[in-house]
Amino acid sequence: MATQTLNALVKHLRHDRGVTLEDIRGDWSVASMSRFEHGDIELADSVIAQMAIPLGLDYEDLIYRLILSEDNLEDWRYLASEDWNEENAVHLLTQLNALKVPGMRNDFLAVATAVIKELLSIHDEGRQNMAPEVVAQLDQYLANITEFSRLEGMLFSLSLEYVPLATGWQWVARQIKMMDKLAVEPQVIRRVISFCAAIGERAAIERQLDIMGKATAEMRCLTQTIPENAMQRYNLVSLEALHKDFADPSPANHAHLIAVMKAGALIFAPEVHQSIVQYTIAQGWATAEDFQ
Amino acid sequence: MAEQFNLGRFMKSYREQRHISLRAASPDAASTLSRFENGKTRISGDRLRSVMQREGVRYWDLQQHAIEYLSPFKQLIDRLYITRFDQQSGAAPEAVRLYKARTHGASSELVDVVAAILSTRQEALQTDQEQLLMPAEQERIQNILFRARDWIIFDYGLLWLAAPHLDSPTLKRSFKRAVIQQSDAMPAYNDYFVRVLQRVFLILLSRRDEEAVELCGPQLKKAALNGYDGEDSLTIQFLDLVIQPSSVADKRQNVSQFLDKLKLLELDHMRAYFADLATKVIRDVPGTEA
Repeated sequence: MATQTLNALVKHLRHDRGVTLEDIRGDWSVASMSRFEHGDIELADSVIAQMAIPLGLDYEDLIYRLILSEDNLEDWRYLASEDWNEENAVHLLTQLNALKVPGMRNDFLAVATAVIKELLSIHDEGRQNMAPEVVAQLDQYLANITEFSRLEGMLFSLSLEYVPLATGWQWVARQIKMMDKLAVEPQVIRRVISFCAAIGERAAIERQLDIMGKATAEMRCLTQTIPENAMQRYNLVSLEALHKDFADPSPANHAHLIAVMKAGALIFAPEVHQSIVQYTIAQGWATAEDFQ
Repeated sequence: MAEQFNLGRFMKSYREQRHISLRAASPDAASTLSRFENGKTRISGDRLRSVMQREGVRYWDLQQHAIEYLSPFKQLIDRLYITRFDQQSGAAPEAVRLYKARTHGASSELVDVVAAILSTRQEALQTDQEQLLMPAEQERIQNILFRARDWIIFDYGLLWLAAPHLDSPTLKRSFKRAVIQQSDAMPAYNDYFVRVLQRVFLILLSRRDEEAVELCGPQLKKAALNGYDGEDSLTIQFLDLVIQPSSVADKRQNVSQFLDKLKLLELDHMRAYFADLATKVIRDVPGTEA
């Protein structure tokens, strides 16, 4: 796909929709809009919002079309343990360091670069947890933030894997307390639910039934505030079933866990579901016979 | 989300919460940034993006907080989409109310067309019966979709929203257009195409349309290859059960197992939704009998 420019996209949409320059000009003059369409001038960022009603244009279209590039978002994804890629991590670290302004305070860049540096050394040395001073730095940063940005959410959820479980749960619980459940969008609540799920799963691996119970209870509570979501409901119901099976390993509880996991085939692509089943068996939570 | 949003104010509190100094955010124009944050000046797209980068802000974040970064139509269809399994949800009327408030007073063909669809949708909900748009409105929608050379989210969303209220020939023509639009060159739009595909397929099946399987089946297979999850996976698997070449009794059996699994997963709205669809769809789907 050839990268389009905003002015070219606006011009062809306007033509296809049969809309005049007057219709899209907003606070600008027709002459300015015309020069903008020809690529002669750039207008303030707010110009894009004016195209929403007459042309049906959304910011996300611009991101899809690489007109506004959400650069290095991919690099962030590779920081998570399951997708870890050293090259991407180094690339991201270099980019973030380049954004720093010497002598000027920027806690976001300070924390992000400290975490990535720490991740590089963790993977290098094969350690499990981040050094206490990095954990403390993250803790201090996160304590001030009422709502995570997208990048902070990514940084947070990947860091949960490298801090002691109790610390991770404290962070998530603090985040839930700070969140105004009525005011935030469902997407934001969904993200917090996925933090709880990450804690719940980690607690299951470490057999910390107390934290597992608290995390699933929060998940259930939050789930009720958003529209039904298949993936999150599966995460919740399966973690609850696992918790019950741990706490009271009766045949009925185990059979329920297996039935829930089998029903997961509706929610996941076959190979993903298969890998979830394999993982469960590898953890010793179920046997291969259970799934026959 | 506050309806009166001010980008400058948001950026200011965002920056302050994170202890980022003005000069760290905008080294060569700290005072411009300050005036922008205080609503005293506009800021160019390039400068805003450079500030966003230094502060770690993404457009996603602006869309969560800033109504001006989320078009009224996309906000509408995204909200209707996530509540589609729950007809009783208060979120759907709220989404419609918000859309109308945001487009109030705008003179635009796109707004007029959407208003016509929303009023027909309202009628359908109230009477609990299929309601078609007036032929002239259907033609208008088709014209918009056929005139657009290169579909954006709006076009996919328009077809998704209008689909239940288009007669079958118009619906099929428009869907074929969507198939052509959808290309590997623009994979980002695939999710929106799959929304349309699922909806059109279900509508044509419940209308017992003879071409439903032929038209949508191959597209569904292709979509399934991409490994969808969540509700998309549920819907694709449901459709797959329904169009399998098997007896009506077998289909009923399979769908009932499908519904039992949803019950186990406590997906009550989805279970009710698919149970209702099954009664409309299963009896004698043309071309799928064993």
